[in-house]
Amino acid sequence: MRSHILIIYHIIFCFVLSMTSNSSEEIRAIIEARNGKKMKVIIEGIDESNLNFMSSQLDSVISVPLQKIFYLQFFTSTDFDSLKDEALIESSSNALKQLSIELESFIPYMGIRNNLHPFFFIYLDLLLANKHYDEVYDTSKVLKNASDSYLKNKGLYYEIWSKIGLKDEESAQYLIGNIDDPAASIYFNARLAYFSKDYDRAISEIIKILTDYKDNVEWLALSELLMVELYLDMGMVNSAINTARQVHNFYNGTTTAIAAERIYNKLNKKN
Amino acid sequence: MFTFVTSGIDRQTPAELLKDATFALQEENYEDAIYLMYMYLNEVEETKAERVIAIAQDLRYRLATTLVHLNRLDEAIVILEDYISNPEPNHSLHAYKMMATCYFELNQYDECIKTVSNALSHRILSSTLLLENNLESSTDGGSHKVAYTQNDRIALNLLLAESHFYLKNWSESLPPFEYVIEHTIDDQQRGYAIMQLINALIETKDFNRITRWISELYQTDARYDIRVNLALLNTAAALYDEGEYDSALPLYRMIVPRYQLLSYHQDKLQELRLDAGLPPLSDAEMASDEKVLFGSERTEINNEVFMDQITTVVLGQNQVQSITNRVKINNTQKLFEQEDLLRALTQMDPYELDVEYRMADLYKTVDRFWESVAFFDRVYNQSPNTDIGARAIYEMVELLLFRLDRPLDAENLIFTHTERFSEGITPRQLLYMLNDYYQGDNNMQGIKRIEPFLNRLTITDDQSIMQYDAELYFMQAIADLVLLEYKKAEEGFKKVLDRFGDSHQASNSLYWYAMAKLFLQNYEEALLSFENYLSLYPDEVYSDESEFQIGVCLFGLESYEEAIDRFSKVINYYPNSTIFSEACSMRADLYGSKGLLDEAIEDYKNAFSSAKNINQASYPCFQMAEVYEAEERFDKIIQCIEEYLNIWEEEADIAKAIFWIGKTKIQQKKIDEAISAYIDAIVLYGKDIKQNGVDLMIAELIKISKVFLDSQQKDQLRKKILQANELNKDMVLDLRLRSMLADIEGNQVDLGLTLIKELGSLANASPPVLACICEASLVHKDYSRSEELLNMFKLKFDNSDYMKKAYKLRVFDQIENQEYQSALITINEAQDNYGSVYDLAWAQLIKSDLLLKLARYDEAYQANLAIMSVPAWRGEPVAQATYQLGQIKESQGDFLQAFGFYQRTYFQFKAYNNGYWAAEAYLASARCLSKLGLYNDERNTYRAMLYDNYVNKLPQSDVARDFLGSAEVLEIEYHIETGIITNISVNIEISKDEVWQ
Repeated sequence: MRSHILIIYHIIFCFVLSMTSNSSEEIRAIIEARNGKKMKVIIEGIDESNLNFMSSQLDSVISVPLQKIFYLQFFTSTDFDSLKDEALIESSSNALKQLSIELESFIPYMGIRNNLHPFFFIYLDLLLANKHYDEVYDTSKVLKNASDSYLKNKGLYYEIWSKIGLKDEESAQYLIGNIDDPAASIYFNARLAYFSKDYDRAISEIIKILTDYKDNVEWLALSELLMVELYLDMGMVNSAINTARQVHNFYNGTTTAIAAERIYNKLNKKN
Repeated sequence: MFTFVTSGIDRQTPAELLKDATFALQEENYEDAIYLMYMYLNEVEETKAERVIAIAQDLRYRLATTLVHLNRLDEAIVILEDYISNPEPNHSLHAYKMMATCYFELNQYDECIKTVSNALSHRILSSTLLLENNLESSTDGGSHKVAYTQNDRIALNLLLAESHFYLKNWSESLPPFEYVIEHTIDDQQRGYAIMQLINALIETKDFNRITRWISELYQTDARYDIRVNLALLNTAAALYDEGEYDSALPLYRMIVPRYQLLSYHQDKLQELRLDAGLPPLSDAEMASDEKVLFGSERTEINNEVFMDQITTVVLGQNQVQSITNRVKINNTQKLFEQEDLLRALTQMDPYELDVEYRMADLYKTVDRFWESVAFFDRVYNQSPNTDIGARAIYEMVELLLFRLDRPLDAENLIFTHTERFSEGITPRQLLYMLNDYYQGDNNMQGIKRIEPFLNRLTITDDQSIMQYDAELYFMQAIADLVLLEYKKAEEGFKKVLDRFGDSHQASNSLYWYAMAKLFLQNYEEALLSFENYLSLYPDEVYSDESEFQIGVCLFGLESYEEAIDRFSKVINYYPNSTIFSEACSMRADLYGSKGLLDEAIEDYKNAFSSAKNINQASYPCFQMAEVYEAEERFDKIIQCIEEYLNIWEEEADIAKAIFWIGKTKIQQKKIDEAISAYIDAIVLYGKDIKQNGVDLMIAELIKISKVFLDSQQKDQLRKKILQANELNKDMVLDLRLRSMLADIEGNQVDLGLTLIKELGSLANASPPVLACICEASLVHKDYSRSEELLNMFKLKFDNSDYMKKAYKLRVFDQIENQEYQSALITINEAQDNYGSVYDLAWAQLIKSDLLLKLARYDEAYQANLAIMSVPAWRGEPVAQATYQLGQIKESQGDFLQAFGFYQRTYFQFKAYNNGYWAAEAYLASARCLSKLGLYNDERNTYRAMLYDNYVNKLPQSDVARDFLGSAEVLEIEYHIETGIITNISVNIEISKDEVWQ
């Protein structure tokens, strides 16, 4: 009886240890299947159609079709929240580098909903902010293949952003045609128009979001941020400052608000 | 139904009263039940029996509940106080809650606050297990401690918060509101609490906290609560008034449009109806399948739901038991509430336009002009012909014009609106705003675009509207005046005078009406109008100007003495007038023309010293210089120019001043100093294309080089110019220096050709450079840029002397294209600008030739005769004019007179243009003699031509050779070689008077 208890304690201890370790070879997670069942696993790899893993009870590798998996809860010792805070405050290359290192082994699994997505999206946003468009394109490819429509759309958006950044207007325009969300589609058209310095068109597109899609906060915020850039390019600095301040106030706590705050501080210093 | 027999009350025992009361309650005979319960309580008031006390307590609770049910809240409060103050109040928590609700409903907020505070601080020991959901209980030392459920606490906090709110204890209301927000799971309730919290924060002016709560509110379903929406409107307005724009804007954004609210609440009503077992639509007749589903009868009355209610019953001595009864309540209340809500919503005035207007205004306030325009546009498009629509388009136009600098967008809006709505003040206000914008921009063409829309407006006798119309029509005429459309301007001002004779612009219109006539050189009528102005408005703003302009009219009418008198009047009566200086200058000019140079100088000095602007100072200064130059008083020139420079400093026309200084030095034979001064000034000011003094200096330097300099000095000048340009990087100066050098070297045509290729744009070309291009174009018959060149002069250098070359090029272009009428117009324009100056003889000659081409012989004849009368055109122009007179007569078939003019040409003007005109005249003479049948004279004319050394080597002489034949030609050549002088003459009977008829 006593030895049994010892064995149980040992198993628990090992499991706890394993849950907190994050060696590049071993990725531990809880898989939640679409039928609601959960399982603690060590992930072995992923291919186009299957996720391969070992459970703590079985010795052999199991392959499960991706569409049967609903969610992955990764266990990691990395303090992603701190990294996120640093990234949002500084937008620094250091934060970008750190995120790149820490997320590297998880990126192949980003086609499945998981707890690291918020950090992954911040990483992609940082790449965009630092104009690493090729990398955004390559890294976000994994999202495009997701069966989950939310992730798929996200992938499409990042692809469009990268194409616009790479000045490939034709491809961007083509990809915009694949967007389901009308607000997103309008936003990218506005950005494309802005890129071509067709400010009138960019403004008229943004106005559509402000008037007809004002409940779509995600694209509303980005549109208002784009308006800041437009005002700046048109030499209307006061308008840019005020818009940046309002974007920061309205969407407090979001990456968009932080981007707006950065512009606001920069412009306020100049003035 | 329980029937209470009142006659037997006195005889009822407490037990009977209790039994009857319970029965009456069950039968919903509340009035009797209440009466019986009061009776019972009265009967047992003094009792000490525990069992009875417990029963009485339970009865008090039930009585209070019933009284609340019947909305007899005052009575309920008294009973509840009794209940709580007596022993064993098993439902004390609910009693407090009920009492607090009563106080709140009776607007007794202080009492409500006390009660809620007591309730929340009260923990009651009870042995009774309350049969409620969500009950929180804990075991503590064996006794059962009962506390409020979460829902109770939320409800009590809401009462507390609301009471503080109504008592304006804003700060105290915040914590209970926050409690509700934090704990409630009802989204509507949460939203309402946030809304009220925001209102309290507005009152405490804690705006930073507001912004945070607004985003919270945005996430709740309370957005669809009508009360929340109304509160949002009020809150947003309050924030706006406080200047809290960043907080107000998101609130306005959150307000759900009425149609959206209606749709939401209609759906909700349908859900409630379905829940109540009713068909989804209240007024619709049910279809057969619906009848199957919902039944054929309306069932609102029977629609009941049940809830648990605790009732205490007496089982025996000292035995009391609480039991739970299923009590039916009418759940149609929610349904009715929802129906009331919808009804109220339907009857509400639409508020969307106000909200969008406010948003537009907010965006405008924070300089987000494009967003503002978008929302004003939405308001306008939804309601263009209402007050709010009018305000929206006004704001929109103002933004487009004065903030976004988009006049064409504004124009489009205004013109479309004016086409749709031709009545009222709004279209006038819009047109006025556009007019104002263009006026500020000095864009008179823009103002003229308003005219067709102004003409379409419905005429009214409303004074406030007529004021706008008067102003707008007045500005149309002003625009015509500025655009040099004097006739139209005259008509425009007349229209204002006729239609708006009593308006604020009547006096101004009369003055400018007179001015238009003056510009049209209709001096007599102009004079009358100015006199009219003075008699109607003797004290108005233009009275001094009118006096002055009368002087100008008299000058135009060549009534010089009267003009002097009038200018003297201005000088004497209006010494402080802005026109005083000009009156002095005008009188000075008149004195000068009479040879009264001292008087002229005196007036110029006065004009100079009283000048209010640089133009008033420059004119008399340089006129004085002209007079001094004529008198060879060069020291005086220097003195007046230096004074001019000292007083007017950087405003002064420095280049022109230096030009005069240089000119003085030339007269004083200080050529080197003059050249240095000019070169230095050209380098210093030559980068500014508008400095016409630089171009005057260039012309002067060219003249110096041609008149005063020998080849060595010329070479030095060339070197100086080249050196100056080596250090220069400015395009304008470079072109000026190159054109000057080309002129000195006689390479103007070559430079012109180079520049035609080199300059894509003429923006950096000053008048001498443009003249160079004109010269080259003319030589090479390249008229492609003639219009552009002339327009460039008109636009930028309309006072330049060099523009004559552009006129010439343009005229040749028009002739080339056989646009004779246009060419005549261009010539007239050039002559109006420059008069009969020596280098404009070509214009008169071409004019004559064109008139001949158009068979307007008399005019052509007169035009040629005019050349003879201008001293500056003596010489070759006269030769050509004489020849052209012959052409006119020949065209008219008067060969004899034609011959006379031709003969005069080759007799008197042999040498001009290397004998060209003489040669042509010989041939034409021979032609006329032939027509007259005077063949011998014809032959003699050809012979004379070959004897004439001025022409016999020109190509025209070959005609004579062909006619005479080789033998005769050889004979003539032999005679010439051997020095024989001929006596060949052609004597035709024609008198001098006949020729010049």
